Amino acid sequence: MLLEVKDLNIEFHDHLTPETVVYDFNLSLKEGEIVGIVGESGSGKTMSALAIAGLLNRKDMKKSGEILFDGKDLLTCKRSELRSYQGNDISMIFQEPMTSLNPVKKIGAQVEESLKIHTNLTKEERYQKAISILNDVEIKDPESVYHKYPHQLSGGMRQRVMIASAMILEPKILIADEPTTALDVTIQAQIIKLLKKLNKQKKTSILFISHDLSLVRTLCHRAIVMKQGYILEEGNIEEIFEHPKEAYTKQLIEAIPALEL
Amino acid sequence: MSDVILEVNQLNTYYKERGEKKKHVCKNITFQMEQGEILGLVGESGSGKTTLVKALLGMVKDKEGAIKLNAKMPQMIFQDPYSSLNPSKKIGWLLQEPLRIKGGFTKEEREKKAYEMLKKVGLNDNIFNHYPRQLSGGQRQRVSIALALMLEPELLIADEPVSALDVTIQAQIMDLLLKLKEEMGLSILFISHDLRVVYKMCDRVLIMEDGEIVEQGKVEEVYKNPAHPYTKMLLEAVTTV
Amino acid sequence: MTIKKKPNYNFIIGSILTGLIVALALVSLVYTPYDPDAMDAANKFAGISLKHPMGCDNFGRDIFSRVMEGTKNTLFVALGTVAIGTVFGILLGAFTGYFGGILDEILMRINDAIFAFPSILLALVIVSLLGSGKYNVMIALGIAFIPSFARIVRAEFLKNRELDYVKSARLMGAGSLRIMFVHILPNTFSVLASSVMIGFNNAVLAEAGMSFLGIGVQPPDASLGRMLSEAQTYLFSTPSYAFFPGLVIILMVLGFSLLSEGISQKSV
Repeated sequence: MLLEVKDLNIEFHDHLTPETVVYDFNLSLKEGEIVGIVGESGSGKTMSALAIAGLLNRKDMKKSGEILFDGKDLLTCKRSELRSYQGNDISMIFQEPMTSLNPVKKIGAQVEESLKIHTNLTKEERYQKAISILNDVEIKDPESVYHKYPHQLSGGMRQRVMIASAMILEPKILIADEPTTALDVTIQAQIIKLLKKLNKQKKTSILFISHDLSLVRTLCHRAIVMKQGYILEEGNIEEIFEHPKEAYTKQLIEAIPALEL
Repeated sequence: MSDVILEVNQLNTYYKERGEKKKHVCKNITFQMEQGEILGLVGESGSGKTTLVKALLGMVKDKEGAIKLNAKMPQMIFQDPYSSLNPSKKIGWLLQEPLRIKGGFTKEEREKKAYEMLKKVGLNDNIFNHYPRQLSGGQRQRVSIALALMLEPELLIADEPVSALDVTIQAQIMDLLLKLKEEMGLSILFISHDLRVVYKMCDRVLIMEDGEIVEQGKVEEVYKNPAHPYTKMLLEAVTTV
Repeated sequence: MTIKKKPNYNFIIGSILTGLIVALALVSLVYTPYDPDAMDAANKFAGISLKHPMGCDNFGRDIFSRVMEGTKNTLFVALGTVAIGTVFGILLGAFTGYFGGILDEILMRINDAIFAFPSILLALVIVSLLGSGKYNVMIALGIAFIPSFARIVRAEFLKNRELDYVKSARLMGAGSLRIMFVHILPNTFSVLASSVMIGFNNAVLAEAGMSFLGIGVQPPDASLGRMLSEAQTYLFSTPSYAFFPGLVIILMVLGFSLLSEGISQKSV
């Protein structure tokens, strides 16, 4: 088992009253598997993902339980150890490709950033790697994109760049938080295809967070349905869609307008 | 054939940013909208659908062509329920504002109408004294709909009214719009990028790409036999995903 | 679940200090222990005593009475300054921000030009044109304060006019003036409030500064800055003369800063 989360609870402490946002979250992720976390706003899906990525502030958030990556607990390990996993073995892409890239840095520098942090490659080697990963995410003419700024790219291109910079170290786990929500439908379909391809080629496990059940259905092998901080249901994709156990899951599935062609 | 409520003929709009060349945004837009129908307008970002709507509302200066509107002032509901309600006003105040501007109503009449409208969109009376920030996204969108309907418009323009909402809320808001359409005899120009939503809501659909209407027709027909490659691509994107 | 709430010390201390100062000014409207302008040769430089809690000045005037009077005048000028600055700043900012275009360009460039001068220098120029005195100082400082308020209001209007609620108001048939002042303006209050408070402090200091230079409130009227200026000759012989007006200025500014900090904490 690549990643195992056991009884994760997340409690916020930056408000006047402590607030629990995730209760008893359990998850296991095998190598090469794509697992979807489905839920609406306030379901705790993003919080769980951020916790796994080690991006939650240690001070404001009280967390209990275990997040085992290769047998190592990310919640209790040393900060420096956590840093070495981040970007290297676990990386993340976000919903908003407009704000998740630094507007004043060139694409090339941003894609190479984790190479600079985690490896001792020379400038030339880094450049070669960056170009090849930009190729992998199907960016046409990567040499010229390398020298561009984020604002010169479209939303879909930016999301591809984000994926490139997340994938450049060939992480074992890619956490994708609503990566297509802000994109146009045709672009959305392309990004989903790309994620599928990367999963096949590089055996990267993907944790796909989304509110969109139709996306989860096409992409994921298994899914977890969350509501108000709790896991309601978990299972294989076909099982969940064909025989949902919970009323809420049914409601979610029925909320997708049918398209009979 | 029922009455035509909106007729657009050879509409072209232009847009010029400082120091840049004049851009041709909407190109030869021609379509008709019938009384009582829900007409879908589908396009991705940059397709010019927002500009088209602005032009219909008279907010675009540089345009040529004819827009014939056989209805009172059309009203609009917006995508983002967080910026479409004035944060410093209570819901009750907001709902009365159109009547206040129109004039000729006493305070009692205004309040009565506002309460009636709240009921119509399925909201509780106690919302009347709430501020927008105290409401959920779905509640806000209901208030926006109520606000747009206060003047009893014949034409409603809905700009991505559900795309910022959770799926279960989406379904509720769509049902509400369909119900109100029947009750009040509305015609709705329904803008969306989501072909599933359009399929559920609309009678006919316009597909826009790069400022042009590349295809239009009955929803089922367009979806079954898409003629334009762009329409095919859009449909493929939804069905493969 | 327990609600842990730290007491808002800024707000408490700020309101106590501000309350004291305002009370001092208000009382001076109806009562001062002595006539603040009455000279008494027998009490020249009288020390601190029960009869004269802050002593007397070079003319034998009761310093406590004059501090009360001066607080009133300083507060009055500061309030007037902020009022002028806010009202005209709102008007200017609202019109330029909402309509934009060439008018905006012109007015904002003028605004920038005015903004480039230190406000006290600008006020000096205006006073030299209008003549000195309480009301002229108020007008001069008020004008000098307009640009900073105009900028803030303009920025808020620029931001708000693009929001959907403004479009929705326009679709209802609301006119521009109604949209500007009924719909948008209330949404600028939270930002405006904090700058009004900072502006008020600056006004207190500017008034004191100008009176210190002798172009503010004219004798025999008392003002805190004026008193400091008169006291500098006697700084070593009668330090209480300078100490008390200075203390009141410090407390006034401190109290108001704490209060505004406290209010902004509360609203979070």
